[in-house]
Amino acid sequence: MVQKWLKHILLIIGVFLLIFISINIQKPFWQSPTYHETILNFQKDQDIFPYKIRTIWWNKSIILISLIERTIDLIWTDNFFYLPLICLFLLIKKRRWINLGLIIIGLILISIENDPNPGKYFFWLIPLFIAGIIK
Amino acid sequence: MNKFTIILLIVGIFLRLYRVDSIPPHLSNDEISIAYDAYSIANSGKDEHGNIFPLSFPSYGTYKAPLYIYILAPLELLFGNTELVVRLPSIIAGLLTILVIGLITFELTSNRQIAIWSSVLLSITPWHIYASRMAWEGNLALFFLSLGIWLMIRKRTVLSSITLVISMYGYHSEWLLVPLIVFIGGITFLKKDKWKFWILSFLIALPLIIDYFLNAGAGARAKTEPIWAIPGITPFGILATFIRNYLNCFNPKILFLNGLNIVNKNNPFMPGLLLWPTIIPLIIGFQKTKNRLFRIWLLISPIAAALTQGDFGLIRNLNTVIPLVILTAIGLNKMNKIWWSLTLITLFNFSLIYFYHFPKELGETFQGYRPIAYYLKTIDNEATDIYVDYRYGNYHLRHGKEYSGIPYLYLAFFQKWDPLITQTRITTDKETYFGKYIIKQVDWNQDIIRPNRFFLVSIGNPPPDHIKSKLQEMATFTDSSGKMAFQVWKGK
Repeated sequence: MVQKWLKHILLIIGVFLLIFISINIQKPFWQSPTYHETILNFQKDQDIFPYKIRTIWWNKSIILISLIERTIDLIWTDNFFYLPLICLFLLIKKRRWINLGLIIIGLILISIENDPNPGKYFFWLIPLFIAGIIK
Repeated sequence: MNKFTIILLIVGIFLRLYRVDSIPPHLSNDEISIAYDAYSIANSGKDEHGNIFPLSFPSYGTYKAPLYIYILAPLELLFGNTELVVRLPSIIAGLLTILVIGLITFELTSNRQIAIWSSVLLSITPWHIYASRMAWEGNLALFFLSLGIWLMIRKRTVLSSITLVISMYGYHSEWLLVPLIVFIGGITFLKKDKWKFWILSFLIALPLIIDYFLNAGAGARAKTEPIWAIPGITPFGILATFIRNYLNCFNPKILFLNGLNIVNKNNPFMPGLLLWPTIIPLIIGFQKTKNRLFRIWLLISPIAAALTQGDFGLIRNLNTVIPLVILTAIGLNKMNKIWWSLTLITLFNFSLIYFYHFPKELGETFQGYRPIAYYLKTIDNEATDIYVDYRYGNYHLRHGKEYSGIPYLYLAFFQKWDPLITQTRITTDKETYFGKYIIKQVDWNQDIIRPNRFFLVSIGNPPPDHIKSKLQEMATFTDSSGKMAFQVWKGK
């Protein structure tokens, strides 16, 4: 019973921390001049798609692709001895999909920041992880 | 087999064959060294350095495995020195691997549909298409490895032993992987014959092992490649590097988003090694598969690649593609039409980038020496000597990149030099002499310009204005993107 309550409380804290992370985003990466330079550069030199659909759909999809790549970078590189990766694997093993989904949302929010600070924000996801491993 | 699978299979085969001689636009460093060593072996029985029928080819310091070269040598004798011939063994190996993966899957799952799907999926996998269109030793070795595994499952002790060990002669990654497969496979599939299988495999691999210990160069390279050869590395550092490399082999970003280096690095449209929608059936297949062997195969495949230095290697880790594709095929029957539509769009996207943008965007990075070799052949009688600058790229004019090439191999291969010329080369501090050809950094202020002396330089090293009056521009050559790449000048 206590564990069930603890689990719920941690989950609620975790959700609030996610909101807090999103409020704290100072500058999304898609607003940075370097990002725009990269996009403009390759569009100027190369007609990456010989069709007009590029300007309508692909420019927006670049943000999505970049966001996914940045999130994977956070998970898959050796940050804190692969702590995020280990946490995610444990949650997959235990089939705690809600906690897993919320942690991934947290990681996406962290990677939206142009200069992400995983050292600070990773630990804000711990309540969600603990809530996931409590029986 | 329904119409849809047949069409997909045809598309996969088409993607392997369409303009294979011109995309990638020119032979790469590894391809040309294989091509020339095969030519040299076919015509003189020696490699470019004069070694008689070696088991390890020093090449330009890369120590190539022998299998591809010995298969290619008779083909070049029969069909000549062209890009298509050089890539032919890899193309055929790639096509046969499509068949073999289906056979393996059928043996292990007894499910005809999954077997067909695995063949179809491999045929449309960008990673395998890319590898099959280049003269890559790893792709040839992959075919023999897969064939050996199939024969091993069929309990053909002698044949599987021969084929598996042949793959070790095909590429260096197999040196570690094959012994592991031979050991595990012997216990799993050839219970009664396992000792025969192990001893036979060892005996067939013996020449390679002896050569490794006797051949100082090959041994030295093999000793500098592993992660424990990194200067000053601690045991903990070795472990950390291994874990990082190993996990990198399964990095979803590389596998599904941007692992295939066919456009510039910062280009967000870089495709992944596998079509990204296949991540869903792969996860399902990994969870659902009842046969542990697929998982074990997947987990041991990148070990060799993870033990070597450097970033993720497309070719070093190519062996992983087989278990990845089989697991994806297992999870495929859960997929609906939306998934298939997404997969086909992604395949179209890959094809567009590969066939249209790849030659244009990376045109500068290729050593387009083939047309130059043909041109220089026509002025051979006129020239007293020909200075060839080994640097290329537009580094001077537009502050672009400077690349270091191996032009002598292209010239030797396409002009069909007598192998004796490369075998008896003279090397000094700054130049290497191949008969009339002198490979060096052309320095317009130092080098003496005299009549009938030719200079082949990249667009990055044009003669300064005050020297141009002593020279006559003979020819210009563009790269695959249409930009100016090389110039030939002649002394007046």
